[in-house]
Amino acid sequence: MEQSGLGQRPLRPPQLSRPSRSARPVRRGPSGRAQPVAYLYLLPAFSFFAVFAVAPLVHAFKLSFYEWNGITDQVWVGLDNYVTVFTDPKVRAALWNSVILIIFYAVLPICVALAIVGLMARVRIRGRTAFRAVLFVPTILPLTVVAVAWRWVYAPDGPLNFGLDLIGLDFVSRAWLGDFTFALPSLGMVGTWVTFGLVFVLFAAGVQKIPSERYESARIDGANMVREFFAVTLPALRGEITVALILTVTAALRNFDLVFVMTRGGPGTNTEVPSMFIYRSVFQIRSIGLGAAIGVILMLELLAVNLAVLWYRRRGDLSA
Amino acid sequence: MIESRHERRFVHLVLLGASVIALYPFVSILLLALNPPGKRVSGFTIPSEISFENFTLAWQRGNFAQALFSSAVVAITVVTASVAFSILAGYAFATMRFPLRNTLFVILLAGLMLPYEALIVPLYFDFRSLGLLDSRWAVILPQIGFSVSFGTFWMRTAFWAQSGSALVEAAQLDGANTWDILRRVLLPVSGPAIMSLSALLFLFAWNDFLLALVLLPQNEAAQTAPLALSFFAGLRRGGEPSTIAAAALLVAFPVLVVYVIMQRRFIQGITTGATKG
Amino acid sequence: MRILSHSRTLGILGVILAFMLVSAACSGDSGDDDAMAGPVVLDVLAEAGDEATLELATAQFTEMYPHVSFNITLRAFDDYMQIAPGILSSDDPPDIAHGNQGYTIDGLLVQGGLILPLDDYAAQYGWVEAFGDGTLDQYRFTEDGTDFGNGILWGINGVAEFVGVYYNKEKLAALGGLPSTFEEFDALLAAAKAAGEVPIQLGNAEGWPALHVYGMVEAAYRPAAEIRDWVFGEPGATVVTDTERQAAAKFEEWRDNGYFPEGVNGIAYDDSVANFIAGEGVFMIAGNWNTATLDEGMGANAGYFAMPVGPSGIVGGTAALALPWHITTSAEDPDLAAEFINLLVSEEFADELASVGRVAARSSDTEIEGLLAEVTAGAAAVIADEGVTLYADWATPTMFDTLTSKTQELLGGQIDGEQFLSDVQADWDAANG
Repeated sequence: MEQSGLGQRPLRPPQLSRPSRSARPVRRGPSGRAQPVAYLYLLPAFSFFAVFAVAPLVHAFKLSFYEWNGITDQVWVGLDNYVTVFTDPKVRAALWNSVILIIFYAVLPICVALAIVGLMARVRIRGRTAFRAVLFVPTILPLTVVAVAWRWVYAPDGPLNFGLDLIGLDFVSRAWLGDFTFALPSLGMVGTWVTFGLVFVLFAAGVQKIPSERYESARIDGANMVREFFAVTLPALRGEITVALILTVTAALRNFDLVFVMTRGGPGTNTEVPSMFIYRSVFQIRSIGLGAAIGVILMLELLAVNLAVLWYRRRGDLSA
Repeated sequence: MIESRHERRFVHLVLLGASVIALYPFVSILLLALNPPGKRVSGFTIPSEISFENFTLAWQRGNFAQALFSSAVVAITVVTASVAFSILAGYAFATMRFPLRNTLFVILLAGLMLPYEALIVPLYFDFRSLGLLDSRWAVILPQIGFSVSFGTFWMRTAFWAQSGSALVEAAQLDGANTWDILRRVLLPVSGPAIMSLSALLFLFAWNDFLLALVLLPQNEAAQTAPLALSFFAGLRRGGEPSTIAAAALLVAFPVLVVYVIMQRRFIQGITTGATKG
Repeated sequence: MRILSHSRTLGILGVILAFMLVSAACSGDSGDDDAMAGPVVLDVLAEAGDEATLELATAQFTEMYPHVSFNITLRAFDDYMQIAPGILSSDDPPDIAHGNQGYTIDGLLVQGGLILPLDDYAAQYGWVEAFGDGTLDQYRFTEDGTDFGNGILWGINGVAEFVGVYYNKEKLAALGGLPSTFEEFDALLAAAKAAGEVPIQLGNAEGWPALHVYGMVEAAYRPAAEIRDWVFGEPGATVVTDTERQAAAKFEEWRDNGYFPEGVNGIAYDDSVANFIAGEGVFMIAGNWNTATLDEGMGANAGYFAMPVGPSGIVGGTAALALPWHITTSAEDPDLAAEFINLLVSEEFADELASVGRVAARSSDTEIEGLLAEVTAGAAAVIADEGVTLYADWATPTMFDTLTSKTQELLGGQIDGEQFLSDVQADWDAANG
């Protein structure tokens, strides 16, 4: 569920308590003889997973080889739909836009959050929990609500333009979501706004776990703020950065709610994204096979990105 | 810690600024919604008189009582079923040995990377041929299907941490069966993990839009709140952004309430979830 | 090639699982409750523009047939066009539903065998004589749903929808009088711009509103019959002609001269109407379905005229009958549904359409006054000159999609008029070639 930048991603589950670590060798897994009763415990979860996740996936693959308008007979067309995905300028625009959105959903919030967290590492923050709770709010709001709010902020007579006019920048104000140059970045900034809280909360928690001795020894070595950040903070946050990247890149690629409510892909095809195209292919262009093919491509794209992040992480660990 | 006063002040200012940005869009629609309906407002206008009429209007016209109820039914069913199934499966993966254990786990894990945007097309046609379209089951069943991957993964780790504990071993020596160990030993100490999981799944379920949009196209009685909001913003645009703003706040309200109550759980869920395992 | 076997297995499994689930909460009132019987319920799925019309008509119908009640679902235009075919092909379609002329919706519904032919009812109720044969062509498709404008009658609506020019009377009075030619209209736009006004109010966030403006310019330059041929997919029709180029160039000129509001692609259609009411804009080129809203908002200050005659020599413009009412193939009582549709298109009801701000397609003797009288007169002028051009987006299954993004690109300066025409024609050629 593309939701609030959280998605349903591999957040790692909690370590409830430590004792197990010392009680037995780490990660050995259960031992002893096989217990067939396990299958009974697995049955409900796997039934739902098989019927509502795996089966539709198989069905999507199958549909992607047909031309179908959803009503009359299906016609086998082989790889035609995939050819269309990579040749049709509108679909390509959608795929490309989703890549651009990664900058706004992932790169930008991660950089900003790292900078702020780097600053925070050096000082005692008053009201840390309050800040954390407030900054996290954008992440939990329904994206439809977020979209309605930002549609107003960006409206021709909305707060943003009003503010720009007020400080004498009236030549900058415009109908943000209808502008060919600014519609995509404007949409992207909403993504940044949504994912920032999540990224920040992850990093802030990570920094708190860094032993203060490390900072002290860095300072004894005469490290300034910047050196300290690169020598201590950044390496310690590698795990959090990996998780943040996976969550935010996923949110960027799956983006639907914001586009649907704010721009519906316009102006032109400027904010068209793959999931919007999947929706259109069923409900507007009525080319179901094409929609299924884009879905398959989207899934592969996500898989590739996730694996790349994990692979890079692992390589980093080895070299470190 | 060594720190300069300037540095401290600067950091606090940055955090304060970020907080203002995080809250502003929400506050701006609140200000908008508090205007009397039909009044043309622009920019930073602060309502001269506070009127709740927009909320009444949105409530009546947008069918939000029904929609909020529907969202609650969907979210509660999805969370209850997903958490229950995840506990069972997570328990098996954490404590038992059986053939194909690792294979099954990897398959389930792959579900974490599955974008349901890709599944929406087949789901729509499958449910259509089943006649399930437009019933709440159409959004409940797939959400459970997607949630169990995440949930099982989560509960497995939670139980794993406990499975070697003295209590479990003692119970095993007593000859307790698997069900008793789960119920008497593991569940009582897993409250926090279960609460965090429930909070996250509730959020996902409440905020879902795409599934509802595609699978509940017509039945107003089953529409969830985000869907009702989207239709409301489409149906009654007629120059009344203030009423739409009120509608958005109605939809956000339950999430905010849950967030305020469970705030620590959410954040703990996210942060402990991300710690290096 | 069907996929049913797969989905059936899936289905059975799904149903079993569904029951395994804690029966709990949902059993309530999910799903549909029209099984609760009582006498007869007519399920109607309609585009929201007809809300007031339906209110009026259902009240009358229930008076005539007390055992009939209605279950009405309304959606805004954009939402409606996206979900309607899916609902009509689902297990539980309504009895009566709006479609939309052309391939995108009606063609699909006919191909899928989802709606009933209405020729028998047309004969029974005398619809063809009442509306004129050619007028109803827009509701015709051949039986296989592949040839638009010919063959069987599948739907009908008694409301005429004309795009015309609304104007702000005070503002126009300050600039000059009513234009009697397209040239004079063009000059008024320049005068409005010079006076610091927004000459044409327009919001094109949806992409189709600008199409109505372009359609009026097109009709000023190009004979309406040619445009209709293109919409109906007659062999060899094209928009890449000299007269059409002139129209596109004029539209481009309006864009470059700043005759449209700033950020036009970012303004929602309904918001632009609100802006016009609030005094932003001298003219607004839009459909007559806005009449009630403008009447309420501006009172006597709102005026309307058909686009005055241009080089094409006739008063023409984007116009058509409203979205067709269809009877679905699964309607429980098609005769009853037809009876209701007949009420909607009847002569008696035509007299009452004015009270909900709509223009009747068949002549009506009711005295109308105010803005609606001007709107009706404008429509009459177009009809008299046979200047109805229909809607360009009916032409191919993908044309609506193509046009919505192309008008935005044209208005946003991404493409010029020439490019606009060739892109649009490329879509037409792909479907008709």
